[in-house]
Amino acid sequence: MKNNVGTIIRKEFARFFGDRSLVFTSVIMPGLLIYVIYTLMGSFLGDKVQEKIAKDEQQKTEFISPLTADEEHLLDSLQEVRSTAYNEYEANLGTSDEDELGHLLGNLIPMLIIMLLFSGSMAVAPTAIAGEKERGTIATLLVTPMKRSELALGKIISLSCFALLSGLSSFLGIILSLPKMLNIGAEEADQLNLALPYQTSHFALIFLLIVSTVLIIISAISIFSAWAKDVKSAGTMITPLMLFIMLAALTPMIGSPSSPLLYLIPVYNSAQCMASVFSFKVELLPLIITISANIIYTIGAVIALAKMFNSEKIMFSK
Amino acid sequence: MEEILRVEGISKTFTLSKKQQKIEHTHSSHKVAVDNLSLTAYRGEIFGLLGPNGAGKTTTLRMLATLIKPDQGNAWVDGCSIVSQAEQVRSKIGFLTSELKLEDFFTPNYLYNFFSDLHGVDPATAAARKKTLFQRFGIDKFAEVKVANLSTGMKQKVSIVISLVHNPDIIIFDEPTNGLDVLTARTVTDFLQVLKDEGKSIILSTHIFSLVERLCDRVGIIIDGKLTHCDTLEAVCQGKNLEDRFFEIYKELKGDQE
Ligand SMILES: Nc1ncnc2c1ncn2[C@@H]1O[C@H](COP(=O)(O)OP(=O)(O)OP(=O)(O)O)[C@@H](O)[C@H]1O
Ligand SMILES: [Mg+2]
Repeated sequence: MKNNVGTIIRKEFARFFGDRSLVFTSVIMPGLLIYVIYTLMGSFLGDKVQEKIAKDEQQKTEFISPLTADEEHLLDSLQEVRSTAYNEYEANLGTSDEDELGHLLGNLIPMLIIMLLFSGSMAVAPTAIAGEKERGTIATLLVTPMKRSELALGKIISLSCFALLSGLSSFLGIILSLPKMLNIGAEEADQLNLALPYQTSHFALIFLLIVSTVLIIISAISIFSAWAKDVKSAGTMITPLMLFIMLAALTPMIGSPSSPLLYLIPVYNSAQCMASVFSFKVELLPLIITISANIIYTIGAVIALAKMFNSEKIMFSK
Repeated sequence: MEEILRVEGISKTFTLSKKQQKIEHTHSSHKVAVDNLSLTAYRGEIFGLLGPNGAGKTTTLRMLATLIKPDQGNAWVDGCSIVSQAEQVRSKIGFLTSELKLEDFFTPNYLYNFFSDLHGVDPATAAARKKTLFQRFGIDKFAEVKVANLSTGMKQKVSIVISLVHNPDIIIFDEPTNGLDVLTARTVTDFLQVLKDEGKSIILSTHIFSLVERLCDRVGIIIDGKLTHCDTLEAVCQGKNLEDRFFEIYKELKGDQE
């Protein structure tokens, strides 16, 4: 069989990477912008973190300083007792820090990731579908013997790659600016990494979740874009979708779902699963439901998009 | 004579939006664009579909190219039904109409290769064919210029070439010389003659009488979606020139109504 999906993907890649301003606005700018903004924010936010660290130091010295005033013969034993107490305190401090930070990241980062993936998708999908319809270039494709499903699949795969790149750029922006945002040096950043024992498996899970989320978001935007008569009205039609995605991305702050069936809700499921990975509460069943549901929805969307490409009412209405 | 295209009673009615009703100056919400149209075209001939603006020429050709489906009737392109074998029909025809645009961002060279791939033409054949077609239309000098920067005439030439990447036996061109200056139009019509000499079958629509007289073996006159006459050029003209004959037909039809 001819590989028409590959041909479409290659064309979309040539289009995307051949256009420097498109690459700049959708890949380079998001990461750069986030880096700059977060670094600036860090100088304000960082003060608070410094305060907390200072407070911890103070507590530490309160524990240790009275020791020097003690009687000589009591010194050894007392020091032993106290340092044990301190060690316990510090151990507690450590775990509670991890919990707190894990919780914070667990709520914030999924929201950030999903919003960034959404804006990345918005940068590429409406022009590639509603734009082609508006400019009449999709009609030229539709008179070739290529199957509509091949066109739909080719579009969704390539657009997902671009949205992923855009999301990756934003992600790098966050990671690189995180130490600056917390106003800490490289050494402390290392300590932070130790305090938050994320493993390769966590990152692999996050990556899987990101890919399945990108597919879902690109699918939804593509369907709206195919429906719309031009890029502008696609933007208007996507507004409710954007609200839904924003709300879904925020839900980890409120709580986790009561029933595993709720993991069938797209975007909401990704946000919840990402949150669970970041806060070290990964469960297998929700993850499996989420990823397989997202993949099934994407297949459904490819079929729906192919049907839309085949519908003269949708493609050629005046 | 071998039949290459048989159209049997195809009709197409569009639903008009409020905005379109205003543009068309009508209060009815439906527009019969093509009304029970039948015709036959033969292999190796040029068939001209002649009609005024809004007669239904483009709609007819879009149905033949399977971009839109007829409400009624059917047509067979080289034996393949436009209703049930759309993909086969698309691989047999080269279709050109003004609504088919090329992506501004790409060069003629890139687009030629891209559409060759979609049609499954093997690269060696595609390269050889590209060379001859680009030379014939003078595209070779502009092969690496983005479509956005090409003149209207050059764009149209590239569109023609792109519609022929798969060397189709049946060529369906909707007003191929529209918007072209006389020189470019001449290149296009000369090329149609060459294609005919190569044994291709051509269906073209136009409202230019001289084009039909010069090129077509057979002509169909379409007015208000109905095919009023369909025969060899000589039989339709009845010894008169085509333009006079057309107005005669038009008056016969419209005179009764007004
Ligand atoms: N998608 C559509 N929706 C509604 N009406 C349409 C649509 N396409 C065509 N029409 C109407 O159908 C009629 C026939 O149009 P068509 O384009 O086939 O005419 P034509 O013979 O090609 O005219 P022209 O010489 O102007 O190109 C016109 O009245 C047109 O307004
Ligand atoms: Mg027309």
